[in-house]
Amino acid sequence: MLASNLNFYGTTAAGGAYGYGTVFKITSEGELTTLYSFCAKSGCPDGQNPLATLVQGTDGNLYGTTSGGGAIGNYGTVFKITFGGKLTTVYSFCVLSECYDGDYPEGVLIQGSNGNFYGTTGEASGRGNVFEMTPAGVVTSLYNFCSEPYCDDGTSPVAGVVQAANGDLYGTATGGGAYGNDGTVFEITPANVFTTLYSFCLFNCANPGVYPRGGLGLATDGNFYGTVSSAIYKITPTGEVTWLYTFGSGAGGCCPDGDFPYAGLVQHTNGTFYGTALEGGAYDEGTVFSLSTGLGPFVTPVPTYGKVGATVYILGTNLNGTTAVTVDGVTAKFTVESSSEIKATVPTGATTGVISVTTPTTTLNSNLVFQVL
Amino acid sequence: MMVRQAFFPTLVFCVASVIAAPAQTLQLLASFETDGFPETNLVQGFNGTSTVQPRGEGSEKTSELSSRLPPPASLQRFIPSVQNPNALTAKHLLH
Repeated sequence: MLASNLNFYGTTAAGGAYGYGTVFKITSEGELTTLYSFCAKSGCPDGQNPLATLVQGTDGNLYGTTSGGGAIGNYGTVFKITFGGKLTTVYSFCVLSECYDGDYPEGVLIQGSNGNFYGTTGEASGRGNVFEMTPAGVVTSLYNFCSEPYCDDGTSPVAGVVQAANGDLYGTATGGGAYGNDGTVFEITPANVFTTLYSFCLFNCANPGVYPRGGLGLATDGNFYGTVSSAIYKITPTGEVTWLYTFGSGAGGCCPDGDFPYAGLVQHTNGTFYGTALEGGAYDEGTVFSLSTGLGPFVTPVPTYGKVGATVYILGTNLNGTTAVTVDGVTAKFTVESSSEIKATVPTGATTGVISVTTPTTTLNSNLVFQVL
Repeated sequence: MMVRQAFFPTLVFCVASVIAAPAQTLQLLASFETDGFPETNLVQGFNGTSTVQPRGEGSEKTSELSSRLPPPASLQRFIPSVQNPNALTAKHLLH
């Protein structure tokens, strides 16, 4: 992930000083620094094997999960780490009976509009849950999967969740569902009402793909975009699915364009989606692809929050010649650093809202609400 | 899953976002020849490229996929691992 200091941060599942994974920083020039190596002590109370990337909280720290280790046992943790590499274990899973609070988190966290963190657990347990965690580390399970007969509500939500503008959480469950074990897309409201929006279905419904291991991407049209075993789909907030692309469907057979695009999609500020396929391609070791659906360009702030007077970087495309930047309608001071980057200052009087950038040819709005702290 | 990934090293690369495509068209940007099997998502960089942290087989390294930035000479050996239009450039060799 790209942090507010414009360095990238990530995790490795293994390796490091003790063999159980690391948190690292890498600059855009490729200079890598290992910030932390997990499992310095017996039993790995600080966690082990982080499988997801990080998220930067509004306190400036980076937050992540480990799939194993922790103070309770080998059930995983939520941790926070400073830019300097000081790691604090915020929560160790499986405090409750039968790990009702969750275990084995693999997905990325998000920080919701209320300041709490949200994530998913449950690959190893075969059930999984969606949990909420306060910044102080109080965890509440919002929904435990496989609560319905035959797991019609889904199982194993490994990819985390996204939050839409209405405050609802949306995500995917890799297994379960109404048609066997093909996976689902689900929604949880702030009032904690759970809804299965869609059940994937291969054999009886001829869906071009199943098993949504990748999460959902909230795009600028308000819809969610995701990937399954061999296809890309769009799903509306009400659960209407449109299949956008099926891998291996071209003249080349399976699969010069890729196969098993497990990682989901990300929308670039040029409006185009980008993704990776685990396998397929010319050498059957995976591909990188883009998918244009006609959505227009936008801007996105880094970080997504800040106090008045704070610096915010605005990423976009064709930003040269920009004449104005506003935060929720309040004019901000800015400099154009490059055609893809603006450095702005959160203006006095600004409130939480959309960032707008006026270029010589158009006005670009941010894909998410910038939070003024 | 966890055990399998524990033996999968990690790499990082970037892909330039300079290719325009018609509406709802998938475009193959690169195929990995070695050190592939990417499992994770991309993230956009401030220089206009997109970066991903996949987990792949082979030597543990970080790398960049970009048609904008010429690769350092010492990292040229990773270029054949993908096909055009973009070229894979190693960004950091861990081992």
